[in-house]
Amino acid sequence: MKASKLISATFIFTALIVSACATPFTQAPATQMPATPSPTQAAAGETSIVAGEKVKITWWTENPEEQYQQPLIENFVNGCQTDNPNIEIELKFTENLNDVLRTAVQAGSGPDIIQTPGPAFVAEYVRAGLVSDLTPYEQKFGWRDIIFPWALDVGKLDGKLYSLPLTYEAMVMWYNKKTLAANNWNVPTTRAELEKIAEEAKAKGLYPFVNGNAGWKGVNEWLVSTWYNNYAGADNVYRALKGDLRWDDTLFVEAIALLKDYMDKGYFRGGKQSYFATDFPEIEADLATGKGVFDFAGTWAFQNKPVAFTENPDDWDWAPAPSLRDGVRSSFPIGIGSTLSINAASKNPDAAAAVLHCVYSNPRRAAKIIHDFPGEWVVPITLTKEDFPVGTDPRFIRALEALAAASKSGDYGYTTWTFWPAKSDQFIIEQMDAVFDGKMTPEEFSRQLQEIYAQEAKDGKLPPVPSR
Amino acid sequence: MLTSTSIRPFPTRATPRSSRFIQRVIKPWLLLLPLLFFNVVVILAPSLGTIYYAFTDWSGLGDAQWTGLANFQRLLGDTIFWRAFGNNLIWCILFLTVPIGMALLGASLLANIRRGQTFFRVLYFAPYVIASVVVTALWRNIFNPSMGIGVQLAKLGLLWADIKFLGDSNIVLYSVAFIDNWHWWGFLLVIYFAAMQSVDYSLYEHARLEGANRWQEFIHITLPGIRPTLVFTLLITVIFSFLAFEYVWLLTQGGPANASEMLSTMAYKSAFRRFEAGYAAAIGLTTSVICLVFGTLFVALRRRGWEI
Repeated sequence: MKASKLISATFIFTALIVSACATPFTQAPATQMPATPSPTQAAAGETSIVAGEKVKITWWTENPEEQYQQPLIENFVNGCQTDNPNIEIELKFTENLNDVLRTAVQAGSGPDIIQTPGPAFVAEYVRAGLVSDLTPYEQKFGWRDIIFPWALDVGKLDGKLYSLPLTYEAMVMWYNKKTLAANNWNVPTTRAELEKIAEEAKAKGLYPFVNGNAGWKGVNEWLVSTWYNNYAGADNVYRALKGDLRWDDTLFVEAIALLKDYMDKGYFRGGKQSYFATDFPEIEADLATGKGVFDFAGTWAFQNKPVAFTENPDDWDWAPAPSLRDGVRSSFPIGIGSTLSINAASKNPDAAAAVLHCVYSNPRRAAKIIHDFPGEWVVPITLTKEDFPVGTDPRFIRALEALAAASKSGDYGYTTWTFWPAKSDQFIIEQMDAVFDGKMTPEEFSRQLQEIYAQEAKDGKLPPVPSR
Repeated sequence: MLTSTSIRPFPTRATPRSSRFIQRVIKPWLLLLPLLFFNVVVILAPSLGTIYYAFTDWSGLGDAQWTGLANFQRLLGDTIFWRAFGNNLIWCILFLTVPIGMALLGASLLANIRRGQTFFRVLYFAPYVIASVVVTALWRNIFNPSMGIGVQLAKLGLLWADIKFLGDSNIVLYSVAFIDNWHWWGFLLVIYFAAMQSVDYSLYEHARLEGANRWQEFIHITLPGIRPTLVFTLLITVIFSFLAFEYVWLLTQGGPANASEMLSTMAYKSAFRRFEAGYAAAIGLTTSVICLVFGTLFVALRRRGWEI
């Protein structure tokens, strides 16, 4: 009796502890083959494309600040419903979207439209057969003529389209015009100019670079993306992504060593300890108040700058990060911020595709959304100045024009979160800390990255990289 | 009107037995069923799932591939796992000593206070009811590397105090533990204080007549008197130490350079950042086994007659 009580108690205790450590456990769907729907309705721009009974399309999206939620509903939801009277769209703002969505979709439910943080995430959904093949819709809706080809191709796996780019972005260098002017500095375009300003700024008690990664460890990969492209060069990054060059090649080792050197010199907030402990509000405030000179961040920061520079709204501006090696052109490391796919379990894939089409079909609507929700939902389509509402910040339009030009010419760089597979990307995010902290050498970092990347390539997990 | 038929008949031999069976066996199970069903769904199913997936290569989506002990072999060679395990051990030792020591001391002192006792109990307990996101935001500001307490003390001339509490990989684990302890020890204090109230006061009186000092009273009367409570808090401290997640995640995400990595943050990153849910399950299962050892010890001690 006592023994059975002991066994029962131990079993219950074990169950409690194991469940506390449990990963999401859900039933895998029966099929592993991505569904290929047959579009039954023709697309026709602004006209209704789903006839018959009214259907509801659900879309879980990230949870932006409240001020941005209503414009999304007014511009996108209402606009798309007007275009498609037979569709009702439920746009649900969801905290911790990626984790919540993944569990729901794996369980065979979830929304009709699946939004992920990037192509590497979509690839996992594709392998699990959880998202539909969008290729038939690509042809029906003519997406290749609307969406920038590189951005569309990033959504392809084995020749089939599985995701569309919701937002595209690029790494740039933000600065305070007043700070530069006060110190007789010009926007640097070369490494020598950048280092000269950094040394002078340091001597004056300013932070040359305001970046810190306490709020988001991914800041490490922002920097690596910039340094790889602007030191090794975008062409060489492309070659390495394709497997024609190794990540432990001297070029990439030197790029990481240069980044580490800048950290050691105190360019980033005076040193690694402050870099590790500083969050975004302070970073933005330091740039706005002139305590720091440059901020290496993406174009999503168009959302933050007007808030940080409320007192001096004309002072902020952006430029491409300077070239970091002689003979290497400065480039925009470009990337996809979020992707859109159709849930393989969706009962209305045609209607879901029609909703996806609404994201791209109306340039003025897209421009209005960008205006109201700057930095996010920046769809990779051609937008002209005329598409934007009056009063749109010209610095923002200039950035979008520059990105569009780079997209069209193919002269762009590569961001790690778009073009690197998941484990390699996570390694960069986590282990750059070790490099900065002196616990890993740039050589060791590069060698380990190469090993992980090669394994992921062998496992067929590399995201698509459009031809250059 | 009460009739003779409404009066309960005199029980026969058969009736009480079935009635007792319903009362003692069926009814309790019926009452337990909803909770049992809930626990099977929420606890047992995920537990069994985790045990299974720990032996698979699974991305968290789609089907899993059975790989046997591969995840555990990989764990043995994973330097970050050993780092995290070491951090959990340090965390465990810290929480078995610092907050418990503070709470015992605080509760003993509080027990002797006649005025303002409730005020102090509320004061010490208050941090426990503050949401972790608020606590971490508060301490992030206090430990801010540009304008926090370190910088302010340095401005006053104490240059050595300019410490980057959450940015220095040598001390970050202790900084996070300090913050977690700040919210936790008050809870223990209230628990111990309540337990001390149940200790027979005459024992203290006898001890004083015998000439015992405060320390001797504490060692020979208070501690034995609250032993079940104390041992229970030691047990949950060990288990909580190996499950610690939220404060570490909110403050450092396991960084910098894995300096505050815990088994839980490592499992989370594996499952949700690297698509290695199978590996994450193996980490979780390993954590569970560690906790199970302590749990079994607790049960075994009870069987041996320990009043815990």
